Amino acid sequence: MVKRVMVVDDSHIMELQLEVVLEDTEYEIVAYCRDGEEALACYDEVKPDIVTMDILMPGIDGLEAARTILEEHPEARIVMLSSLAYEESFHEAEAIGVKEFVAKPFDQVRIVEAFEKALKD
Amino acid sequence: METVTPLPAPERLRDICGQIARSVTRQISEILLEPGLGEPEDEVCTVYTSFERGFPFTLDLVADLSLFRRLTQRMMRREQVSAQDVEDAAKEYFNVVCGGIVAALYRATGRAARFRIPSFCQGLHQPEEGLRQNWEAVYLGDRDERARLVCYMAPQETMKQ
Repeated sequence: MVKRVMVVDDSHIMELQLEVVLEDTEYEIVAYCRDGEEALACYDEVKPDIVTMDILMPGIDGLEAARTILEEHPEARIVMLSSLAYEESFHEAEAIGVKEFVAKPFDQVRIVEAFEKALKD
Repeated sequence: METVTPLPAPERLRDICGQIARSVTRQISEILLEPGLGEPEDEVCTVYTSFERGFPFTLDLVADLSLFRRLTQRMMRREQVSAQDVEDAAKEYFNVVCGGIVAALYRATGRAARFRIPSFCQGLHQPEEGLRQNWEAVYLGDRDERARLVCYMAPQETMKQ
């Protein structure tokens, strides 16, 4: 069964790269949001299986957007997908309930592995 | 009393930034950048950002448009790319470079920095008033494209290096 992915990233290049990486997998991008505000507005409507969330975005950053989504939807499966990949970000993401953290640049193996782990919990 | 870790010396900061930039460029695009000499000489563009939270410097990557275009083609996996694609790809590429630099600086100093969303311009970026060049590093792409990484800092901050 296809798993539905919502991508939150201010760069549409990232959406294109994820589309390529997720080709021939069970994951399909069904929504793309350019910032945290859009993600908060979109989540209810889309109800994705997985959210990929960048951190550095205009307006509400990805950690704040993830925190708000998880407060309202504790069942949400959020995978941070960011270049800010160091201990402080990992701990902050873990503390708010984010399931996985994937550092940019990424490859198909790492992304799919992170999605699988996030969905298992 | 909290111990303040000094900013890395200019040579060390240049080495960290250069190594990350070369490594990310290879990972993202398979383009090889080697240390070189000279200035970008084609039509040039600049992608740049400012670091915050204990690392008060601005980093510019000035490069031949041909290098940014090839980077974009590799990132988007298509030959035809627009000027907007080049700008978007350059900003995303520099976002990954700067994320790697922040992670490396965290490992080196324990300070958790952040950086602003990268900006892009055609030609050279004029740094904010009061900033002075701290160091620069020049690279040569595998198709003879030139790139120059430049760090700017306020004079009072260089005293902390």
